[in-house]
Amino acid sequence: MSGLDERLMLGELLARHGQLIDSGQLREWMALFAGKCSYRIVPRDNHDRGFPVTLLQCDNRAQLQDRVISLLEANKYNVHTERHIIGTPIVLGRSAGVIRIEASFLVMQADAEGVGSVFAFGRYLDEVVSEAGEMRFRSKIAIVDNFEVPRAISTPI
Amino acid sequence: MDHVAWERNDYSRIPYRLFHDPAVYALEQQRIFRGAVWNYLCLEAEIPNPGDFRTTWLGETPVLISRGIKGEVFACENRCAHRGALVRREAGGNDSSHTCIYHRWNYHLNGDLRGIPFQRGIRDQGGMSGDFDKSCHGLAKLRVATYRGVVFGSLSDRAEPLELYLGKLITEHLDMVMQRPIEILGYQRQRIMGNWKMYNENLRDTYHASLLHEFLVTFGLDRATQRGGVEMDERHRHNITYTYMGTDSDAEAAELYGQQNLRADRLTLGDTSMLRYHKEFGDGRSMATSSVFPNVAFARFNNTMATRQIQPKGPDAFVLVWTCFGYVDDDPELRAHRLNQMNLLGPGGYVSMEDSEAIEIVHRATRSAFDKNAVVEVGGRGPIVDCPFRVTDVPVRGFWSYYAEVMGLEPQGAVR
Repeated sequence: MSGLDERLMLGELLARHGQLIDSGQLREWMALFAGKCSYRIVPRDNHDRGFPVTLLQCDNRAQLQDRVISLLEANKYNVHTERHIIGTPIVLGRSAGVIRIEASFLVMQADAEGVGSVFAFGRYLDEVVSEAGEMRFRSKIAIVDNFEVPRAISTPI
Repeated sequence: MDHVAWERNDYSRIPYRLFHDPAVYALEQQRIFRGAVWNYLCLEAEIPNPGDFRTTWLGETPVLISRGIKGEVFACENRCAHRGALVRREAGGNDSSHTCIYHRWNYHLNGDLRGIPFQRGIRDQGGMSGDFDKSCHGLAKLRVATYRGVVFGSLSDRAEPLELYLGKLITEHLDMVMQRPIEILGYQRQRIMGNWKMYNENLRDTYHASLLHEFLVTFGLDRATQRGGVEMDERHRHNITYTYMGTDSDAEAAELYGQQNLRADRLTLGDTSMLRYHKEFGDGRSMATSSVFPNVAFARFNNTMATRQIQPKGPDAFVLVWTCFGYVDDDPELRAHRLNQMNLLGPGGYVSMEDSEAIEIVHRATRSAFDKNAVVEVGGRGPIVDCPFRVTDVPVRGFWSYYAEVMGLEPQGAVR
């Protein structure tokens, strides 16, 4: 794969991540993760100060699925839609088939009456692998700069 | 603001006005947060070393907490005695003194004024007059008291000694939660668009837990069919809600919830590790959450532990700060389990995300209802008493009875 192709595929993976969440296709969103995977949302102050507490953590695929099913089937939370704006990823490094990338994100929310607000912004620190010819997240961490969460976190960032 | 039209003297009706009226909010700052109560400030484990400091809020008042050279804990209003700027802008740090950036007035860790730049002016011109007494211009000091490593502050000389204020109910709860040296695991913060008192109510309302939180019911973490209940101190200002996991059966719960057209068996988890409970407290309770008037909860939920500090931000919002901790001697496996189980709680918690939504929809819908009342009579009317059962919101009435007393707004013949 050329460097250019790789960049395009990484950008595509991140764009699909945003698009599947924003369109409410969370089951399909899970398919962007590798068989062995983790997903975390981390407040920036904990990250910077070395504290391990997250806002949400799924350490394996079963936990990721449990989150998604509970959100879709059981949890009650604010009625909203969201919109991800994700920046161009940069490659931080690579080793043994794993590409480490960073990309900025901005997530806006609109409520049931169409009132919009900034929900979260920060950066992804992701590990991407290739599975069956497709790029997949092995690890995805959303580090939230505005770590005073407005309302609550329900939908993934 | 000197009168509330209570419909009942047992607080089984709560005027919605109390959540929204700016005059009520202003009075709360004066009579509650600056009044004869003890407010939670932080944990000693957050400022272990001399010179360590943290900033926080007591009601709307900015507060600076410092660890002195001899290990003392000081708390002052974080407001420069000169022109009123925040002296410390950071969340925390370590320093030998505190300096305001505006005109570099410098304070000792205990808040006393230490130095003023150009106090004598330059070349005998300007500066402070000769009779300026630095000892009269320190940071305003709070009374500070600690119990089991929990730091409380009071802005009133009239607050009774801390241990009497907390009472046996809360000191015994803290004896258990803070039984060994703790390790701070991190923080979670969220801004909920509702009145701060609604969070106190939420903590005291066990009726909602198994109705709003389907997750708790489905997985048997906290069901109204389990043995559990609510306890209050004698003045009903504090509350503990407790549960014993495993004291009902899934079949019994399915039947009793089923009669209410509620399903208790809709979901299954692919990974149940989050639900495990390692018994680690002597009382056998799997969950015990206290609500301490006016601004904190000390919660142990299975193996997660956190303080939840309420910081009111006007009548229409409050910030909830979760300080999550484990014990210093936790083995790596237990530490990992606590972190995993924290998925239940906090701003993104399977359970807690629903409390914020419940509070916000009450706040939104009652803004226009100054003349209407909430109905609080699940579990009984009249006397405010402990309940060895779960279908109750009696402690909510307890909260309001103490609130009304402190605010000087009790109805005629008020139940206490």
